[in-house]
Amino acid sequence: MNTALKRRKHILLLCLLLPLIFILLGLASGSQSLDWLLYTDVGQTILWQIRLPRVLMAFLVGALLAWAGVLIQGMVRNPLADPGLIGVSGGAAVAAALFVVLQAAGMALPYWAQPIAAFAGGVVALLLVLRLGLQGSSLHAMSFLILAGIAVNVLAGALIGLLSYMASDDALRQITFWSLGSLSGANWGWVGAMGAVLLAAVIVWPKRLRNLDALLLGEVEARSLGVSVSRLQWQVVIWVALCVALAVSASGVIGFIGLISPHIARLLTGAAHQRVLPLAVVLGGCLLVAADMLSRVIVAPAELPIGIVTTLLGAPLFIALMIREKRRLAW
Amino acid sequence: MVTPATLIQAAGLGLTRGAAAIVDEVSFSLAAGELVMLVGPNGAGKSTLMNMLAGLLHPDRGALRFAAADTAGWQRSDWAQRVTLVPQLSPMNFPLSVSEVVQLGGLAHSTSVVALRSQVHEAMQAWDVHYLADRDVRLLSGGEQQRCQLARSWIQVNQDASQLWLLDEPLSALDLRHQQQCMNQIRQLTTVGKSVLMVVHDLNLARRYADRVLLLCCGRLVADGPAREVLTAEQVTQTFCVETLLEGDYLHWV
Repeated sequence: MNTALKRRKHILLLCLLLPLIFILLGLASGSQSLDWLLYTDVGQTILWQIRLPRVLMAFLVGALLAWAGVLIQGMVRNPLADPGLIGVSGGAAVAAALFVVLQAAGMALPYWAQPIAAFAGGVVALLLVLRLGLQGSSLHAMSFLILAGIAVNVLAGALIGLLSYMASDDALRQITFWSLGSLSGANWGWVGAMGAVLLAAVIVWPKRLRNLDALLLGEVEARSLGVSVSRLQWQVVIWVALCVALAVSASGVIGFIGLISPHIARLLTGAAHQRVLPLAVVLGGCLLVAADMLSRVIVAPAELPIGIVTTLLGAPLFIALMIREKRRLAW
Repeated sequence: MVTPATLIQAAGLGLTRGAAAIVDEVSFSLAAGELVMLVGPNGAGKSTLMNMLAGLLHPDRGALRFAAADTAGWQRSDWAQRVTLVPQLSPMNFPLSVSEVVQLGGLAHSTSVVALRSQVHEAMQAWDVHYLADRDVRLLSGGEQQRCQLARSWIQVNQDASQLWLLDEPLSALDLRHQQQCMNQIRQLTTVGKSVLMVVHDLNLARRYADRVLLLCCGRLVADGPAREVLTAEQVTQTFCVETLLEGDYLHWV
């Protein structure tokens, strides 16, 4: 018990310190030196208007994706579920690609409307999934919902393929860049919106985390413990949609963060949501800040799409975790 | 002698799915402090009936009264405070520890953290899982998992407001010693006035421990009465389609 308590304190400390360290590292890394950033006027502008919002947005996107990952994995009681599973990211990607193609075809669309279109696409996809996966007013047939999500994602993939085929070279480049994820669109507006959603989640979710724990035991078990499972599932779906649609509209499709952060958190502290959620959210944020640093450094002064970095790092890490888990559970 | 108060009054419960009547015209009552066992072949509707009594499934037909109150408007939490259901074992995919699972037994009732901690300790002792407290539940054997779930529900049923314990095959993975421990715990609860309804497949165990037996077959209540009157050789032969003999006080099968 004592060691468990000690470990808990370490984890709390980790949750507070890690974001600070990573955000400072993120601020410091780039093509220009820190001195120049701090002591020249142009440097100050770059620091406050470009680098800081970018690093903060990286952290917030990672945190939101991790939050969505924890929720969806708990809801479908499968640690391998991904927040993209319910079709939101697919829908957002189609809308963004359509936007690019229409713009290239000569329609006068303001650049700032692309994320709004992406968000709308995500919501439309979600509504479609709910319409397909819903039975009556309850979400009891979870597997049905997931299947609907997969169907919508596959459809989205085909539509993006079609749009890419029709797109001009320049538009194609944009579509690809967007569907591989990029934080280059960072600004204070996004940071504010994501910060607000994260704050709302921090206010709303803590009291429901024990209900999510109960859901891990099984749906019947949770209900017999007094948890209104269908209401909880609705809350999860809505929050996942909000987090993912916001993250995807701001930064494109960034894979693996929502899957892997909860996974690492669980390895460190067990599955109880009161500990997993904060740790996973912090880890998700830090991972994305780190991935962003890499994406800017590897091919500087150009940058690699961040989705490629997260996937290149995430996939092997994920495979390693799976092997470890398999060994541990084997007997 | 005063007749004990009626806790559950089920009248003409029925549930149809597709063309099949899963539960059909089932009426019975349960008294406070009674230990009743529910027996019947696979697919007889035992688990469905348990789910109805826990308020998880709404019967298409019939009415369920609980301590003379109509259950129609009850919320999930109203049910959970009065009825504790232990379903058959379902697999876990997440690394919760045994003490974390047991602790969830306090979820239905607003118990203080301090009180809950001592209840968890007590429950883990009572169900012999205290030495597994920090173990990942996925690594437990079937019997250990079952004891862990029973310890969890034991916390729920031990709260003052809780009156009925529904156990769906609680003994299926337990060894002999733990089966006896389980029956002792159940007995202790009935002596303080809680009612217990459990599904079992061991008919001799039912004959030995049950105050009453409900025999369910094809969704219908075939017999309802004292164990030795319901579980006769003829009745068992007929219901389970297995040639049964009564030798001494034990049912035997050829």
